[in-house]
Amino acid sequence: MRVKNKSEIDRIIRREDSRLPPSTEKSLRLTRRKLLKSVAALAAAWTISPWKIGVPSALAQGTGPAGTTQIPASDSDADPTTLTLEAYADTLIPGEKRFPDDVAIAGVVTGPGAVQGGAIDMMNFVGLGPTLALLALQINAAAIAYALLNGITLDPNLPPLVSLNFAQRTGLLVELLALNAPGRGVYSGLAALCFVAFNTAGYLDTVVAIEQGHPGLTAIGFPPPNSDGKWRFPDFSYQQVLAKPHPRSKNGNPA
Amino acid sequence: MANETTDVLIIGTGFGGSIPGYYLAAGGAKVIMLERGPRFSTEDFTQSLRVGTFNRFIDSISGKGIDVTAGNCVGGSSVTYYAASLRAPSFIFERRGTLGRRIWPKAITRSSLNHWYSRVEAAIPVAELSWNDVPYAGGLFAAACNRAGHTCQPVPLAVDLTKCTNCNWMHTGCVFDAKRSMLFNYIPGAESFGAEIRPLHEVQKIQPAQTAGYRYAVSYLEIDPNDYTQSLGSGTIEAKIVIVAAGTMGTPVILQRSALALGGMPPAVGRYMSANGDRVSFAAFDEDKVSSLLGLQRSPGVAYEAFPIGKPINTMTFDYLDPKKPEFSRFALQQLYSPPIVNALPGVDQSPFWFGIDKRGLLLNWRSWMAIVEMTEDANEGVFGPPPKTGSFTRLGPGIASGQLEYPIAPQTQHGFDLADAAAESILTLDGLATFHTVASTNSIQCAHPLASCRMGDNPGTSALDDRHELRGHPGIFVTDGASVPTSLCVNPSLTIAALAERASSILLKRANQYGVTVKHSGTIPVPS
Repeated sequence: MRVKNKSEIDRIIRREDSRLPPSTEKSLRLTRRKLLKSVAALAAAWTISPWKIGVPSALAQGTGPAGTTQIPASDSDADPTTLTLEAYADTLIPGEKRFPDDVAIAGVVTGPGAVQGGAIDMMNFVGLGPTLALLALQINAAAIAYALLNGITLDPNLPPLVSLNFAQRTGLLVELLALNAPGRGVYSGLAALCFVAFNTAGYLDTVVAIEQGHPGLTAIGFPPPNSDGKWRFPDFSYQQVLAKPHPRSKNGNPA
Repeated sequence: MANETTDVLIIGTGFGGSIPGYYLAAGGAKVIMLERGPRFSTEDFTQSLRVGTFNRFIDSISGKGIDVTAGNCVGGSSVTYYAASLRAPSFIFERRGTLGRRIWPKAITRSSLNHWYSRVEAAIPVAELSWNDVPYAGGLFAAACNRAGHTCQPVPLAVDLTKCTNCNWMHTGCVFDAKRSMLFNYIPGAESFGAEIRPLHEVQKIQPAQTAGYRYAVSYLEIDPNDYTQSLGSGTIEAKIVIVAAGTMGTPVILQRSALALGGMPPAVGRYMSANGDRVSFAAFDEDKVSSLLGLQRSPGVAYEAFPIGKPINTMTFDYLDPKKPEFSRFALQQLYSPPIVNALPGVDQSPFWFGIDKRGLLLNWRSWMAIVEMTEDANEGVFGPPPKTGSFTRLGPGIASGQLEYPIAPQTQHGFDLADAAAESILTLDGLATFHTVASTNSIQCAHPLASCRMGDNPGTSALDDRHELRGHPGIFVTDGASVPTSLCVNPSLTIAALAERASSILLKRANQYGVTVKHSGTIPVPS
């Protein structure tokens, strides 16, 4: 994985600056810039050698509950990009852990969530594959900043977003996806794909998805087709008069 | 090489293009119709939500503050619409909006348009639903209205009820030939009289013709059917009459791009766009309350759980369309199906509102949902920015585009939204029948009915077209699509767009000789296939 380029780091810093109220004192603004530069450098270093670089003790002063989670053996094949994007998807539509040491999924509910619904498949299906690493990097840079600004200690063995607990992940995504947040487009686009994956299995023909027992379609109760693969509902109506028409309407039209 | 020539060049094949195309071809004119999208027939449609299927012929265009859904194929939005076919209330034609004077041309009233509405209803044809034709969701909305003291009735639909299977897949076309799009009436009618339809031809610009006897030259790009961002060639056709019917999202962009070559455009081109006051919200029903409060049961032990069953639009209430109420306080409430591709939209009470644990819980209750579209009176606040280099917008991916439209919600529009939200919530949540959920995942308007981006009127300062649909200052260019409709309608607009196109066709037949096109008047509506 390549080091995060300077323009990307500067962009994040500019974005953070833009979130400060205009009245913020210059000294405070500069302090925040220094902090964010450190965050960006840390994120860049982490991308060179994920898992092996700890949060500098000077920056890890928080009292957050992240603890010292170890990389589970069953996640050892998962790359940090996938883990990060799965954690992102799981924060949007949570699901249950796939295996006991699943670190990407927080496991706050029973049943499937966006990860089981194929969020990563959906991202790849629409051609985002080559950019996913950069997107994960951007999310993790934001996660580091969030951790620092909220006094949360990150687990050096996990991608920063994955290191956050579910409430913290949610807090971060609330910020990233706020309706007027700068740069929201990227995050909301990713979120849209997670919803499309879970709710529609948009990377599969719907008949195939139903046949395969797609977890999301099953969870929302999407009905199966007839035996010929087409949907028809012969029973569709209460067949009752259920309201009076408007007195001035005629043939179903307003006056 | 000399340009190709024709009597009439029509840009677009939706309601606004197909109808004049039929009448002018039937009258004997040589008609060429250019459509930017592909041509699909029944066997090409699928019942699938896979990305890359339905979004070959439907676009979601994001502007600033607004997301618009529009068709992109031969037949235009008639292929993807939900077929609700209603006449607009009489008071709509008297609207004054924020101008303080009548917006619609004096020549057009509900009464004067009724003749044209009747013709369209016969040509499409439009069916009146009995209560036996109303699916569970429509019945539930009606029962909820009734219990709250309101009237509610079935919506006239452009559907062949003998073929409809109530599959709820109208948004991906119709695989049963039940939905009456332009593919079944005006388009085959036009072709039977020799009109030529060329799909995947995206018009870019109109400029003066060079050939004697022809007034305008229309240039186009041939679009790659496998990648709509690529062109395979280009060409120009000269015509005596040009009809611009590229849709509300396309028509003003073509005209803006043509302004320099044609010596300017009326100031109302690309301004005063209306989102038809569209406002979408959702209800999630308590199945026990559906049974105990409304007495409904669709099978033993199941009261509703039928969101995905039926036709997408079935019932609505006209109780809030009181002509005596002040403008911006009148609206219709209509029951609606929304495919799960938009399930991100509804919000829940607690942060993070549109995602997280509570939202997941709402998703798991999807079969007990109902969507509601509130159609209000907006303030025509949409404005198009400068046109892109080519096309109507910038394509970002399959069916996803970024447009130049900006829609800052005016206080008057917001007032209507607030009233409509309150009315819908009061009906649907009475005694805990359902929970009510407004859109929380975006602050953009969700618009399926864009209108008025090149509107008619009597005032040259605030209307781009005269009352005959002719573009001011450019004789021989007519606009006959949703862009010409002056205001929001408080009902689904397709029937009004079609009725206005019928009326415009009659005018065109009478005036074609002025532009060197000989036609005999043909008053016969097409025979539905």
